[in-house]
Amino acid sequence: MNKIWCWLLIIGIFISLITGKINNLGNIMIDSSTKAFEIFFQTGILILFWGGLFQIAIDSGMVKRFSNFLKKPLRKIYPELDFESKAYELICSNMVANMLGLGAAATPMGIAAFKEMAKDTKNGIPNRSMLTFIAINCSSLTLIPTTIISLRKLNGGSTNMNVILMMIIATSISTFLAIALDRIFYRRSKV
Amino acid sequence: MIVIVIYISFIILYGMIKKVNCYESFKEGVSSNFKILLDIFPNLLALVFAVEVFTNSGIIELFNEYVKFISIPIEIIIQAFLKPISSSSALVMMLKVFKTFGIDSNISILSSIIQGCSDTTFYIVTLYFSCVKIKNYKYALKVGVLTDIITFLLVSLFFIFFIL
Repeated sequence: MNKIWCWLLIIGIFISLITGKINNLGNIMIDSSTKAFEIFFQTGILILFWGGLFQIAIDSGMVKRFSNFLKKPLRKIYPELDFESKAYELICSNMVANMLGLGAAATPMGIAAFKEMAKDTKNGIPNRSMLTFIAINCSSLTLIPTTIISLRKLNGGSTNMNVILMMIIATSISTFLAIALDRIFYRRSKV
Repeated sequence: MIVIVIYISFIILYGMIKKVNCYESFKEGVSSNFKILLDIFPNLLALVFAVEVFTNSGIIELFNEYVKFISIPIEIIIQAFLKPISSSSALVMMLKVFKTFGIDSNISILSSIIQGCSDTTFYIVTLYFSCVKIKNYKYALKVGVLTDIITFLLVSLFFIFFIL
């Protein structure tokens, strides 16, 4: 992260030297903190608002209820995991939370699930379920992209059904790809 | 927007049926997310600074000449590149695209989809593995990054051929 941050700055300054935009750069540097605050305000309010709503969903047992639906289909994805284990339940909740667009609230559940799975690792080598779990989490499974819809709204745009549908298809593709790639790499690592 | 209304009403109705104190739950959720926000802010400030310097340096004009033939602007490519590394900086790019191309343009829709269809791979991998103190990631990063790249290519190809 450190490297990327520094390189973005160095390359930026270097290129503006070449393109002659260096005079403008001071303004941009100073304005950037105001801009950061604007973005923080916009997204921050959203995170708070949705965080509040999702707390209701968690407290009312809605997330648990939905995660029961996921239990059976997930069995194929995590063949090594005990069906009755606590880790399995946590994985399902994490997945539902992600699907509903909880984002921030899903992470603690995910970490709990990950710790649970890590209990039977040896020599600091992650087991298969852990790697599958990471792959799926990286691909993002948001079925209701609340943040993006709200952000578009705040910036004066609209999001019609087609766009939401496209988003759902795109995340499904990425999740499917993640599962497939995870399988391929697992087979390769075994040989 | 009707989707949002239905979704929110569903959550609240479900809470009412289950006799949850919705008001208290809502407040609790807000305050627990406040802590997350405080962690996000330093990150955001640092990244907005770097991304602003980078994107305003003229690099966009410089490279737009070369990527004209694929009809996807360089902003989108930068966003897709930043997305697996840091969600906030990709978000800055997305808002920039909204401003440059107009929020309801197809480019902005593509930008929104890219923002939504993958997560912050590097961040997730390091966060989860550091929580269990495992240093050997095996193929976790490879799978994540490959997924990001292929998804980005598929989505952009779809846009190039059918929409743009």
